[in-house]
Amino acid sequence: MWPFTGGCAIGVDCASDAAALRILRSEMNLGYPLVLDDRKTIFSLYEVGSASTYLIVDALGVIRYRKVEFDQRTIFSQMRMLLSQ
Amino acid sequence: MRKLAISGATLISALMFFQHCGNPPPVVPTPFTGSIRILAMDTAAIRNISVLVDDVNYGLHPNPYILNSVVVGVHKLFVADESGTGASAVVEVLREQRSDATVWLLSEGPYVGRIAPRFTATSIDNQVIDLQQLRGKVVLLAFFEHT
Repeated sequence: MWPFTGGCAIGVDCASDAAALRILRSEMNLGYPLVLDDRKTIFSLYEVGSASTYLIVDALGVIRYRKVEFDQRTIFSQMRMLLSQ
Repeated sequence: MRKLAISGATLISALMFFQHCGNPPPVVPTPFTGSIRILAMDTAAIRNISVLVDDVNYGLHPNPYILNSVVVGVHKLFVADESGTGASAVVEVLREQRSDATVWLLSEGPYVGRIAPRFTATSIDNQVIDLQQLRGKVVLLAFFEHT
């Protein structure tokens, strides 16, 4: 579940099957929207070469964090800090 | 008859004395000042920071640090932690006010510090997502591929 009030998450998935994504979303109880990016438009826009890349964008629209791999502790810590400002 | 010998310096001093006689001494204007609260941020807590303002080193201080009596105007900050990781910021100091300067020392990955490119997309639940409209919120963008 998404634990932050005042923040939000968007999942961008380059899989080719929307139905599989819906199942995944349901099974994992993901509390945030998932975007199917099968043509990798958003991937290209952010120059993401590796799936499993995470970015945090602050309230002013500036990228504050970017890392390949899901480091929950760091990501949550960053979110909390940005939300407390 | 005695000859009066007056040196050049004495003459100038005497002239300056007579010039100001009866007038108040010249007033050197005091510049308006304000203060800056400097906060360095990272994924881990930062205890101490080195602060440079306009390339003048103000030494090591606890984080956050309030620098007082800064002349009003725009100043260039450079803040570093004890490991030497540093980042710059520009701050405007206003008269008798405190300006906040939050400097991120985080440098993981490229593109940090850049404006996030705008995109509009529709989620698998037909929800229209416009990143521009999420300004004011902190957004986590998670890129992945599920097969």
